[in-house]
Amino acid sequence: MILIHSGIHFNAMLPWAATAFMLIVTASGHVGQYLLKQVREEVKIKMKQLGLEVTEDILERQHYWDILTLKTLEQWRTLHIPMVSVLMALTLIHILSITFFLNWR
Amino acid sequence: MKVLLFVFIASAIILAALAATFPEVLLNPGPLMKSHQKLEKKCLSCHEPFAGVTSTQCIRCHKQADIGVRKVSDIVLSKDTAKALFHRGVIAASCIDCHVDHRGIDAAKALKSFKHEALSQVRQKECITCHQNKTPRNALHQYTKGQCSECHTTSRWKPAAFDHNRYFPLDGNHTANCAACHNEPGNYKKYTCYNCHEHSYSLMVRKHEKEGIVNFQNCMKCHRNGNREGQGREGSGDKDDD
Repeated sequence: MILIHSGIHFNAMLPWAATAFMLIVTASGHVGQYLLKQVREEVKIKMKQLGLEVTEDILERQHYWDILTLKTLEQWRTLHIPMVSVLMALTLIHILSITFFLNWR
Repeated sequence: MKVLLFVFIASAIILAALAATFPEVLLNPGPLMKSHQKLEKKCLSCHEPFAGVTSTQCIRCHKQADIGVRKVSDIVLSKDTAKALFHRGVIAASCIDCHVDHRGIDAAKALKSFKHEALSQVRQKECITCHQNKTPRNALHQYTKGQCSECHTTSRWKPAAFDHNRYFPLDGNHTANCAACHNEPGNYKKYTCYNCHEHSYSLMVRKHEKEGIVNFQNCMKCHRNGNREGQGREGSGDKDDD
């Protein structure tokens, strides 16, 4: 959709950088999603081993704290969050430049 | 959250600065035409902020009366009457109706599909000025004196709105020029069949009276196919005369 919206131009760097970053951030988001799933599974197994009853509510709370403390997710966040910021900046400048140069009448 | 905000603001400032310094790399949607190459970094030469490209910007360099006559750099061009005449005929400040840029160095690619509305009212009626190679030579057009637009549209030549065969076939027996039948100049709704030797008025009166037909002024009513024998002959009592 993004490529169709741009008319697939191959010249201006800014929109292409924004598109590339969007793909990178999307890929990074999927990595984060995978890590979360792994954490969830790990918590489930650990709680079973400890003989605790696993309900969705307990799992969610436990899960939340584990996410914040888990080293792998922290590392992922340190990379993912700045990339999201750069993508937002690229998108903003892209929209501003289009608004500035295009004829809207 | 702080990191997100900081990186966002820092990136936005850096990107904005880069875009302002190197617009030809970061923002340029396509190469400018050869004669505009020197404007690659000067976006505002053509673009008005938040208004896009306006013809007013074009006219600052390209004076309408000079197009096809002299270059922007004041060099007098070799005679290109058609180009000069054409541009004098278009509505003032309508450059962007036809011209664009950022489509490569070849200026011929930087044209939109032509709209006749960009021409002045007078020029719109002078089709042959531009369509010289399309001057029709067939029997129907050979003697026409009217405007092309009476039958043709500006979107395409064919189909034309007019098909003479719908009214009367111009077959082997009727290859006369337009004026032979349409003797009121420019008014093709009116016709007469009495302008030729075979259909003289006195002969027609004689022939029709012999058949008992009194109302024969509207020839097409019975002789639409151009044959001698009429279809649905009128009787003497028929009052329809249109």
